Amino acid sequence: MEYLQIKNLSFAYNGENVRALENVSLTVSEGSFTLFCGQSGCGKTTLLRLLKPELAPAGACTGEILYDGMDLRMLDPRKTASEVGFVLQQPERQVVTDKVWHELAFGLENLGVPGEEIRRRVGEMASFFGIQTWFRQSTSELSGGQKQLLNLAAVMVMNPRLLILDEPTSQLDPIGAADFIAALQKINRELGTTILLAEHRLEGLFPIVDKVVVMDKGRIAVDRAPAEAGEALRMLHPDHPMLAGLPSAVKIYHALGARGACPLTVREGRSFLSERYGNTVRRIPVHEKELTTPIALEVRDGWFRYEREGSDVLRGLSMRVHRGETFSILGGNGTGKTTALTVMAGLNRLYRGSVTIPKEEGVKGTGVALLPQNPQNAFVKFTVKEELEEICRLMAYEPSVADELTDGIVKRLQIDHLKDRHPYDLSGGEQQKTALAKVLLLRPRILLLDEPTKGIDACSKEVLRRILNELKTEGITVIMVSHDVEFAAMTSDRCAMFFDGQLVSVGTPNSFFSTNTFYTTAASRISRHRYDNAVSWEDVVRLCLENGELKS
Amino acid sequence: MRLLSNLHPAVLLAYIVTLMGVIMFTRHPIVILLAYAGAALFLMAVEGMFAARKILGISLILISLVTLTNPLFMHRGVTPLFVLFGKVVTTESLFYGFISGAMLAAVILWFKGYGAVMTSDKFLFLFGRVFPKLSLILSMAIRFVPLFVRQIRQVYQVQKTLGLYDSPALSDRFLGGARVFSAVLTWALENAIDTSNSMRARGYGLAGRTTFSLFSFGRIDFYALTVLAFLALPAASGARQGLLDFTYYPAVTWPGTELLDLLFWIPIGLMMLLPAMIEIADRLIWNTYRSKI
Repeated sequence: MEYLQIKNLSFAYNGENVRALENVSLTVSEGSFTLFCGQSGCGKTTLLRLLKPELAPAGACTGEILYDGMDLRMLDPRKTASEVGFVLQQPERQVVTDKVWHELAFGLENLGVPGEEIRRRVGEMASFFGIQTWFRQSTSELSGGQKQLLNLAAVMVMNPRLLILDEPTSQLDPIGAADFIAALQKINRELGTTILLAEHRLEGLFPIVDKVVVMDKGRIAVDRAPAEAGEALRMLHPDHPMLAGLPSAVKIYHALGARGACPLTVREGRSFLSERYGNTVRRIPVHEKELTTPIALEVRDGWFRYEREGSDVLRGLSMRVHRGETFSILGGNGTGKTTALTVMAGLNRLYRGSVTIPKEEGVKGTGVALLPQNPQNAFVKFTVKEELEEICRLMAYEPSVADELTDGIVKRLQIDHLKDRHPYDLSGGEQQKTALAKVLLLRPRILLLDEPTKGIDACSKEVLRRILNELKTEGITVIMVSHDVEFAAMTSDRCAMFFDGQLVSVGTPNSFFSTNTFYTTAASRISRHRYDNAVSWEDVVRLCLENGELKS
Repeated sequence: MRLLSNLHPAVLLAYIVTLMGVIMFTRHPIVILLAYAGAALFLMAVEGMFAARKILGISLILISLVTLTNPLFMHRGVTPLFVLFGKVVTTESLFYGFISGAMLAAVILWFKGYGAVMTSDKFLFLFGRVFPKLSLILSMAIRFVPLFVRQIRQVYQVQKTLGLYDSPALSDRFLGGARVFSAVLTWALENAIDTSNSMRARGYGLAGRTTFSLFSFGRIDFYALTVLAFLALPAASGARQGLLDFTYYPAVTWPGTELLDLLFWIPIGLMMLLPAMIEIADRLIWNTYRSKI
């Protein structure tokens, strides 16, 4: 008997004609690790929630979900509460209490476990996750990564057999996300807990999961082992949109049409390249463009701190960005990248040094606009339409100009169909586009983006990349702060590394990423022992094809 | 700090209730001055001389203010000092003002120092015993306040970057504030949905909920309560005999003190000075302990 069995499950939300799930069948064996992926709105969240009776959405449901051969919905609530654990997307919102220890005990309190046993189990779990150092802290003092780890531990303390996670790392920076995934792997390996995980960032996940389930429009498109998933996806459609989200090694393997074992990790990718492809041609030709356009923004020796007694966040930051350039600032968490943006946006003032923004003709004010990291913070109205109208009113556009401008932006961002929705009801990618529309209505000349790819899927990223390219052709300068190395490599004209309050290296993506050894794209890490300057997976494929396969 | 803050919350509560009982129900100058001295020493021991200097300064200002204002309203007493605006200022009313001010200051200082030891989670624990639901709600509220404040700040900042209502005009400030507030309310509701999901997912609402806390009543707590009882009992019996009574009007009269009364005064003094003594002893013991390592 299988541990979890889903048979012909279909589901439609109340009041909607389109089914969110269409005839889904799936078996999960005990102790396995299954990865769910697919574009936003593909039904993976709906499916996962249906597996947790407490969170099951309301709607018409047909088909069966069998848990140990029993109907899941008939189980004792006490059993499902403790045996099926669920971790949601937003780290902060799941935390219930004010103290870390109380949060860990919360689930056990609900189950009515006696105090002495709670003490033991909480202690065990805190040690397992390495929480003991912040065990007595307030939950509000924790970082996002710590909060999500706490949410995981608070579920694990109830000793679940099945752990379901819905995009748990989408709000975390790469280091927090890697820690979280490592914790999941530890749980799966050392405790044998069955894990179902939905995620957009697949790079580090393929090597550790047993099975990849790709969903598309409410159906299961692929249900295979990770090494075969890419191939199966390509069989469905050679340009399947989900292919863009696969790990770099898998993408390179498929683009080369290779046979044999599919490499999943950087290490496997490296040996795949050395065994199969030559490297007589080591470089792809690069045409370094001279930056001839005038300067759009310059920071000269900027120093900044928040409090008089505090430590300096910016320590002699100097940078020069040209008009029409896309400039990316990369760097670790809490190094002051966002602070640097607020200084450029004029929200904070340097106490030494200067920010110069040469005036452009026919531009009101400085022409600088900032897109916040969390697009939700930009929304104050009840529909998308009202949000946009408000900006037009603010900018005192003539009605005809306003309509034309709004239409243009709405069409370009493809948010026409969202106009009457509440901004909070949109998906992460849609929220971001809406916030971007608001910012673009200000007709900025310099656009500042704070972590624009946070929490959005591979397809939304692709759309964002296209939009940024279009903005560039209109001569809009983009300065963006990001953790997303891959995205920065694709979109930027120049990249810079932010460290210790200043920029430590600046260069074109090609020179920047091919000289970095750690802080670089997966494709570069896969290929650097064979090729000199391959940064994107397309670069690697191009060089491989040029060199040809090795005769063995 | 360690010894005191590691005591069981019930012991800490018992102490402050006893102490406040003594301070509030008497105007005896010796008790009040002891209470003020005990609080000031305790605060200096907890926060350090430097950090405590500000609040101590404020307390002295408060004492002077009350001392000086009391004679303006109270003209009883038999020892006139001088005449102000046709009213007589008496020594008695000046002295009474001084003691009242010291009492107010002592209470404030005690709560300041006490707050450093009796943190919110300990209060929650004590009330949780009586009202389990209430304590969970309070705990959630305490978690939520910093989030709410931060969200307001963030939304406000984004509004500023969008250039909305950022002029200092009153109408703009009001409109801007109202918008931010309504946006943050929506955000809070949205937040609450996820939080309640997370609660339900972890079995909230099942019958037979227990309440867990990190605090356990140890031997040291038992000793501490015993000591407190030994200090409080003489104080109570002394109070019954009228030893805490003191007459200010019409004339300040010092009651005669017998040798036997020391059995009353020493426990009261110890009660007032004990936290400061424990705190200082704690530090000294730790220093010698560390020097031996």
